[in-house]
Amino acid sequence: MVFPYPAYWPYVRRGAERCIHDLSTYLARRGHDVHIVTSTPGRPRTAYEEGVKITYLRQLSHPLLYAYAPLIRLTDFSISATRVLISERADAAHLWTYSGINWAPILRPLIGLPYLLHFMMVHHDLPWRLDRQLFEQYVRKADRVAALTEWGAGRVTQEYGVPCDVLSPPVDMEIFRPVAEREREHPIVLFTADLADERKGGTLLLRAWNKVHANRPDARLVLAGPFGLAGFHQGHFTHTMLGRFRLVRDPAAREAIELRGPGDVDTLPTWYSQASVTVLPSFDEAFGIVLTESLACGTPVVSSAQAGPGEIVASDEIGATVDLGSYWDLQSVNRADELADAILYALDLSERPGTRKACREWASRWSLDRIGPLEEQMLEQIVDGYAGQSRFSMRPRIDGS
Amino acid sequence: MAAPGETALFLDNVLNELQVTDRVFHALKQTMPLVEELVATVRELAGEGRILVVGSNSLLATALHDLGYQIELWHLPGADLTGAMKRFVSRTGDLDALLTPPESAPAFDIIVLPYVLEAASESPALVLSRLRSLLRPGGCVLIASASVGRLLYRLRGLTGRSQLPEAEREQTTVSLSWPALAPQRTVDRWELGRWARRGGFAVEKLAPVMDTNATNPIVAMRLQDWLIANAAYIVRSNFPALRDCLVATLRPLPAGGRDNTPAAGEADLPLVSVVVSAEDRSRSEQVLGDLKQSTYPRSRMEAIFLHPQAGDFGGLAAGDAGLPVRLIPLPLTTGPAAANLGLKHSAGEVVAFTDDRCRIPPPWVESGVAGTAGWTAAVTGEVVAEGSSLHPVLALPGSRGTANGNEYDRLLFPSCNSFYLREGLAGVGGFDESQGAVWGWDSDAAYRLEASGFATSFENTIFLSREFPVPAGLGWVREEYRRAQQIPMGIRRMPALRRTLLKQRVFLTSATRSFDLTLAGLALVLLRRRPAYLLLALPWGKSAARVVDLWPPAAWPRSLGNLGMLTARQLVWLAGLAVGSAKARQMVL
Repeated sequence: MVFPYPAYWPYVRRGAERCIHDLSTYLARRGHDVHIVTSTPGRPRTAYEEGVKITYLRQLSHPLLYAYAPLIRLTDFSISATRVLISERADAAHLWTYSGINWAPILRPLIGLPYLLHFMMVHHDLPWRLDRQLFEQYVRKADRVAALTEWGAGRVTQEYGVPCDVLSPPVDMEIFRPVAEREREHPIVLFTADLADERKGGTLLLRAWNKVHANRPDARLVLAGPFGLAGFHQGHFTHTMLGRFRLVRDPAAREAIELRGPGDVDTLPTWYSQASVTVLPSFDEAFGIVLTESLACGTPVVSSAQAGPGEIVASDEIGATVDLGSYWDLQSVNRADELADAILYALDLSERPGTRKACREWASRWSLDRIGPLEEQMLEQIVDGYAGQSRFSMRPRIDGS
Repeated sequence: MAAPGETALFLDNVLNELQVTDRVFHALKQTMPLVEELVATVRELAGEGRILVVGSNSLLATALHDLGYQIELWHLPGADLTGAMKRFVSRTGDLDALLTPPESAPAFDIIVLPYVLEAASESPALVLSRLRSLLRPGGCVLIASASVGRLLYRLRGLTGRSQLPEAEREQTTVSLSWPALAPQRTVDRWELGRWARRGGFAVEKLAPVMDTNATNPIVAMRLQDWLIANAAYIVRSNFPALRDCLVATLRPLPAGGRDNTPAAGEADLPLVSVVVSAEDRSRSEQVLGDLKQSTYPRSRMEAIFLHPQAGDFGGLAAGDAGLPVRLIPLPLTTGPAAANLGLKHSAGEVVAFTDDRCRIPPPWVESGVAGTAGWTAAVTGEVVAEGSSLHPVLALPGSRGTANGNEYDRLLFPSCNSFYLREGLAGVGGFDESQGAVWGWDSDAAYRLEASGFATSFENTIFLSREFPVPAGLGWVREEYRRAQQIPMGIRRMPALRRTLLKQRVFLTSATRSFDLTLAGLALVLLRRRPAYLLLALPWGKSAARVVDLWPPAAWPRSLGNLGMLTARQLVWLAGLAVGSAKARQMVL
């Protein structure tokens, strides 16, 4: 099984990268040969982690590139990764909508590489007609198509006319579990999404923090997300929440904000466990992995009522939601007020007995033990199905003929 | 010691294994040359040991740890540090709190301060003196500071902008590498040296460092900006003075410095021993009277009179309240042996030297004590000649036998107006008695202190007046010839003085240079029969004009006398310097 994707751990640790890590590790544990093909800002190398082979290809980065043609970095990865795919001859590939292997429909018959296409976003930015046409082929020629949620699968089917399964990002309940006592003296409101991604709603959270702090001066807001995707988020210090701390007007409220940085994968379960509430006030969110991670650690969450998060936070026993459907909602004073109320509710909820258990039980529906077999089953079906239908392939048969 | 390039390769491996995000990776990559310089220096200084890093980044901490050093990190909030390194954090807080450590036993072999010193609210000298107490014997401090000479700062200055722009000060929220500290001051190599000395350190090594690349690969740039950045990089590569950062290795000075912190009360003030070289009883009483009028508390002073064995100085010590006076009879009350005896009998932390031809103004002791703060072990000031003194025809160093207020005398430490830290002076062996009371015997000790790392200085606030006696008859010829003859040897003994004093290490002053040129011009006229060589006498003519009045004619005889006297003095000095140069094998003209 091969997972080509331009970014991976430790350089990017959210979204598809997290999914690839958990699913590939699961497959390796199940006895499959798993190979992740990705890129590194450092020296190209091959690594082996938890039974998974990881090929780090050279990453193309240059100041002029990011100014004039940032997507060339992805094209460069596509070319390099394709070389690996041709030499690899894997049984199947798990591709994402931003894996960069947009010529997979051509590769599929040429090297005999069936693929599962996983939709990772709600909207895909495809400005050119050629891009859109290629992408349509990418979707339609896939052996299986999957989305992260029911809602997402419905949209894919509606838009591209192909059947779409649901394969949610898993959460490893063994790693993400309550590993520390909740911080009672100064309850923590945790934000672990990307601080430089405007869609994650950081600025709305800062606006809301004024009211939260006024009502709960003992609480602390901990910002523990990364600072943007290298190269692609250029204005991360000025145009995102990082440059807008003045939205928090009260100096005492500003003092109560801690900028912790993304930390390590190993420390995240502790941070979630210590927090009283994890907040993800984003819009256009395909899923919301931070929510399931937080719930698995027994910590209630606050998120949008729409898209992926809306499907996750479907009970007031494990958190609260705010109706966030567009960029303008993130600028709205009323929404900030509602978000503050939701956070205050979740802070109270976190103090109730039984909340930790309820959250963890809720998260178990996305546990790796449940999602992993689905992934395995899908890939096996792809391989079996492809072997049955393949008429032209450069790939040697098992019997060597 | 690591082979060249080995440290870079090692760091590259460390960076590639670090569990950091791509943005942090690129930020750390930009710091590689600085980290490489720091790590290489640490490896040169110690193969093993305990290292404290204040405000580290992940790469430096991991590299030092992987090399087997025991590391301790003082961490600043908001700075990025990998989880693996966080377990070595022993203190967290804002910078000023970190730089005021609780008192503890010396615990570290090396302390590393990357971009910390310029951001401290308190004086860097004070910060260094505090950290000094944490160093084990043989330990040292490594400092990395943004250089004021860096090209960016220079360009900002040229365009009328502040070198520490407000916008940069505000950008202190996020840090992907070194902690984002707002600089409070700029740093240059000389200032760094001064801070170090005041804090009890000597700068052992200073290296300019620059970034790995002209640009950060993930920061988008327009073509013109990229071209400018690359051009600037080429300039910085070729001119080390324009590079971004200074890395300094500071080695603690030997014990003997004085605490930098202001005294809380009179009892905290240092005890000062004033050693007076006395010849005459009545003049000595005058000096004692001056000392009693001092603004410095009498309870924190003592006076030691080195007086001739023959004279009756007994009454000096009697009937005085508050100012202890000690009398030491000696066959010779001046020169290095007498000064060393005074030093030996002094109990003060600070020792002042003067003589009974001086009149001491009330703030003299107080100014001297202020000047010897920290590791400034020797200070001197101006000696103003009293009206009845010998008028110096030639403004030469030591031409009056001691300082006479000209620019050259700022480099000398005359025995009538100098303050020393007793422990420091004793540590370098006091005054050199091997040559006797030759020219420069008193300054020699200060230069030895400087060579061992202590600071020395000339302070305008430390001044007194002195009477310089006029030799009878032609006594000046013998006296000035003797002095001129001793100067080359003195200059040879004091290389630091030689570097500063000599014009291209040949001429003593512009006065001797112009006179020597005149003589050379005259010689060439005689040899080549070309009067044009007389033009070489123009500089001397200009300097001699100050003793010549061309009008009225009645003044001509006096002017001729002055000119003759000036010429005679210069000839005496030339002869003395020539003979002395031959003896000392040190050309001084």
